[in-house]
Amino acid sequence: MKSISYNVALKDNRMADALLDKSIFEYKARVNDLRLVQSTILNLAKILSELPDYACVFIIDGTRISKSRLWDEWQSLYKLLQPSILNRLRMVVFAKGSIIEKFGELNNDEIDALVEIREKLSKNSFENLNHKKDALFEILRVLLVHWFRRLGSLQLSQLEQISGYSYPTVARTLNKLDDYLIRYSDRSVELKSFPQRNWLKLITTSDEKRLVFGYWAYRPKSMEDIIRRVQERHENDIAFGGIIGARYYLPSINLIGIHRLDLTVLKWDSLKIEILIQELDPGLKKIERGTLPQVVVHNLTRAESLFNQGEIFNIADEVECLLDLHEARLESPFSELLEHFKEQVNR
Amino acid sequence: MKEIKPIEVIRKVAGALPPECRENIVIIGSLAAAYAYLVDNQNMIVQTKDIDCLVKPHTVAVDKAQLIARKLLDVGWQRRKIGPHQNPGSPDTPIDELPAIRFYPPDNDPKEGNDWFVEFLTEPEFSTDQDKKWTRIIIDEGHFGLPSFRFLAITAFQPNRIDDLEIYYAQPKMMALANLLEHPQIKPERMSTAFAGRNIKRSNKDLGRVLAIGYLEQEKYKSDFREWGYEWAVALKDCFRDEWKGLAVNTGSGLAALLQSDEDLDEVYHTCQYGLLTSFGITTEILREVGYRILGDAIGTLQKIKD
Repeated sequence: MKSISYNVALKDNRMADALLDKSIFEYKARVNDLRLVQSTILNLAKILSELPDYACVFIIDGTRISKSRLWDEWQSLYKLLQPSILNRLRMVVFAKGSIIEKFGELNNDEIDALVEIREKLSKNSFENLNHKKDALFEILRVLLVHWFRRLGSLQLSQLEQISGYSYPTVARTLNKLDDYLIRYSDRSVELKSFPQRNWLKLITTSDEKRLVFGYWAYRPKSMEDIIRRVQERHENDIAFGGIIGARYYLPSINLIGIHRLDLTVLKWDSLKIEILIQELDPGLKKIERGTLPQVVVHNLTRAESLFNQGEIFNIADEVECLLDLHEARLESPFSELLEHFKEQVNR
Repeated sequence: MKEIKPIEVIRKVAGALPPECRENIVIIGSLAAAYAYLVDNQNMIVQTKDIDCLVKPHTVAVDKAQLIARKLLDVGWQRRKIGPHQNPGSPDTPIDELPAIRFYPPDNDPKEGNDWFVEFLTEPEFSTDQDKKWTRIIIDEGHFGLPSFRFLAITAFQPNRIDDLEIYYAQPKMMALANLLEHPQIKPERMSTAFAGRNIKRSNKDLGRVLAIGYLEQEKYKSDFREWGYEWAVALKDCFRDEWKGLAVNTGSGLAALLQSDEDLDEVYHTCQYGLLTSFGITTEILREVGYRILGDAIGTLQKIKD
């Protein structure tokens, strides 16, 4: 099979998401607006008009647009585009990782490459979301969880493994936390006290540093129904945080009802998160300005989840739950839970 | 469109029917949906004009429809003479040119075309019947027709009984399925009469009913629409046997198309606002949300069972 290149510069500084010989692949995830389909096709048509030897494949990875509507759109291209361009244009629709519809004449090489390209580009779309990843933020969280759980010191190699950062990054980051650390001769470390200053920095920047996906509905479904659906999935890399997590760690906490469900997942790509949301409630929509989320998914970027195993389901780590409460502006329970964790350490 | 209280109308219809025919009657359409969801609220109002009564099973439909028509006319119900084929037919009248059995209640003015009326239908004789079919009904006044449509068998599948009235009403989820099956796409045909002042596509009216039922279901019962998918599969297998998977394939494609079209969804909003959901503060976006839940949960489950 011919080799596939990713993020290739074309003429006029245009970028191809992927290139296979003379086939340009354009990837879009969660295409729910027909206008995005139309504008992408027009852009590809322009590229094809400038590159007469090339073909373009538009990959739609997940859509709510019906097949019949997409076919209508495709048929309308016969009136808009010259045959010399339309013959070199293809569109492929994926749903949950499988091809469900093809438009135009794909050659065998393109067909063979489609699944690999989609998989790679969907992961890229996850990695691109990590641009705000911050080593200090991650490593401090791991140290705090370890400290709250009174697990003693952590080898640097363990920190590398849990955080997913390399040794130089971990070592450099620990230097910034030196005031709060006890260093041992066996290359292990632990917090000697609660790092108040860094903690304040952590919570004030957490909105920017966390990967948060918020969803809402005009007429919300019952939380019990959504919780039941999460449990039905039987997945190890998803956990309840927020209010449910806070109740797990401190059953007496002053929290009534569940007006917002916080879920934490480990290194999911955005498509997997969209599929989860679809399965929890197909009526959920991404939050817009001025709307409050009813379901929030936090995507951990570190290598290990640090989930606690509850009786029925996984619970996100202590810091994650605190950050969820803070993000939900539940200030009083947030303070109550933080004090509880600190007291446990000092007990 | 007439504002009615569902329970009052159902009582009036049931009370007028011959007792021996009541167990053969299934109220379908908007009145059935209104009864299913709004019966707890005696003052709840909906807007509707035609009260659809299905006579089943098909094997007794002729006898029962004759008895019903005779009784209603004898106690003063009046024929609705609006639209084509107003006069009773004769033995020579082609079956598809017979007037349907449509009656106004005794105290309504038949000249007031806006009042509610009762209309009788039956289920198809065979599950393979594709299009609208007529069954001839003969009474002293002449020949009438009892229409049936392919998916009425689904509409009347395992109806709920109103114990004190001895008649049945269709399960709303089955009416929703019948409408989804009937409209695998948004067809351009418009209704013969205006709907609250607007000329509405028939598909939008029927698919709007699906959304209205979905809205009432989630408001009243907070239901998990996935259960609809399981029950739909049972009904499809029962009514269409070997054909059921073929029918399930396209179930919901019309709804999916509707949710992508602001223009069609606006018509749906109009039918809901001036119909079943007249007492609720709805918007097109709320209806779209319900539509995605039905599509994802109910139809998604049906497709999984089919596969």
